[in-house]
Amino acid sequence: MIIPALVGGVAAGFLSSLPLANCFCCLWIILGAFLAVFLYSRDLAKPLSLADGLLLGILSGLVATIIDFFLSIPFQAINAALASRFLETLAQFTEEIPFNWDRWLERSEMARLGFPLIFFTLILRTFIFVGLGAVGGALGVAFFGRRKRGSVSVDSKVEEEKEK
Amino acid sequence: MKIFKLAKTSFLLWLTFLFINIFFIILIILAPIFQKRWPSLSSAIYLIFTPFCHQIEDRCFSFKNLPLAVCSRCFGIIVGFLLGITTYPIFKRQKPIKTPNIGWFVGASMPMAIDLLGNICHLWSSSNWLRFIIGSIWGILLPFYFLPAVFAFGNKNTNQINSF
Repeated sequence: MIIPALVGGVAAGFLSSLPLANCFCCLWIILGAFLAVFLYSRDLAKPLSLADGLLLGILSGLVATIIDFFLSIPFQAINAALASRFLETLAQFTEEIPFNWDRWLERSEMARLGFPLIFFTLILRTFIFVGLGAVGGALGVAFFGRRKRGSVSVDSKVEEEKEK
Repeated sequence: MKIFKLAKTSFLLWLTFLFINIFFIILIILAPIFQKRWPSLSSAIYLIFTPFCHQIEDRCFSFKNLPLAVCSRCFGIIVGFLLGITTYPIFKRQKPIKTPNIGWFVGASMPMAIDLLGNICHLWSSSNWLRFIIGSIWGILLPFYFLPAVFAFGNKNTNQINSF
C-alpha cells in the first residue's frame, strides 16, 4: 500500500506545485489518489474495499503535502517569474488575459509571512490535501474496485449484517 | 422519530465533516474581509488555497472589490460538497455504506469538462455564476462516494450501530 500511495502522492504533489499547473483546480490530487488506487488494485485478486481506497487516498494526500511544500520553496520564485513572463506573452496574442494578474502574482509570496502563519497555512493545506486525496481514493474504488454489476461492496455487507 | 439511519460512529463522522466543510467555506469568505485589518492573515488564507486553485481575480466572486480565496468554480465545488453532505442522510437512509454507480460521477463531470474545453478553446467565456453552478453540480455528488468510504473506515473496528 505504501508504494502506490508514494507514487500517487509524488505525482500529485509535483503537479500541484508546478508553475501555472494549478489552473486545473483540485484535479491533480484527485488524480494522484486515483493513480494510487489503480496501482494498488491492479494486482489484487479480491475487490478493493472502500476503507482501503480511503486509506490510500489519505496517504497520497500526506505525501503530496510534503512534496508540494518542498517543491514550492524553489518553485515559488520561478513560479512568479514564469507566470509573469507567460502572461506578458499571452497578452500579446489575446485579450482574454486575466484582469489584475500582477496583484494575483503578488499574493503568492510566502516569504513575507511569519512562522506562525506559515505553520497555520501548512496545517490547513495538509487538511485539504488529505481530504481531496480521500475523495480521490473513494472515487478510485468506484472506478477500479472491480465490483460486479449489482453486487455490493464488502463494507456494505458487513454493515447490513451488523444491522440485522 | 428516526431521521438518520446512520450508525453512531457514522453520525459523528458525518457531523465532523459537515463542520470542517463549513469552516473552509467561512475561511474562503474571510480572506477578502481580513485584507484591510489583518493583511498577513488574509495573505495566509489566500496561500492555503494556492496549490488547489488558480485564484485569478477576474474569475473569483468578490467581496468589497476583493476576490474570495478561490475561483467561482472551486467555490461552487466546496458549496456543492456541503449541500451533498447535508442531504446525504436523507438520500442514503437505507444503505449508508454503498456508493452510487460511477455513471453518475461521469455524468456530473460532463458539464464541467465541456465548459472547461469551451473556455480553453475560446469557443465561449462562461460567467462566474455559470462556473459556480457547474462546480456545485460536481461537488454535490462527491460526498456520495466519499462518505460511504469514511463510514466503512470508521465502522471497521466498532460495533456501534445505534440509529439516530
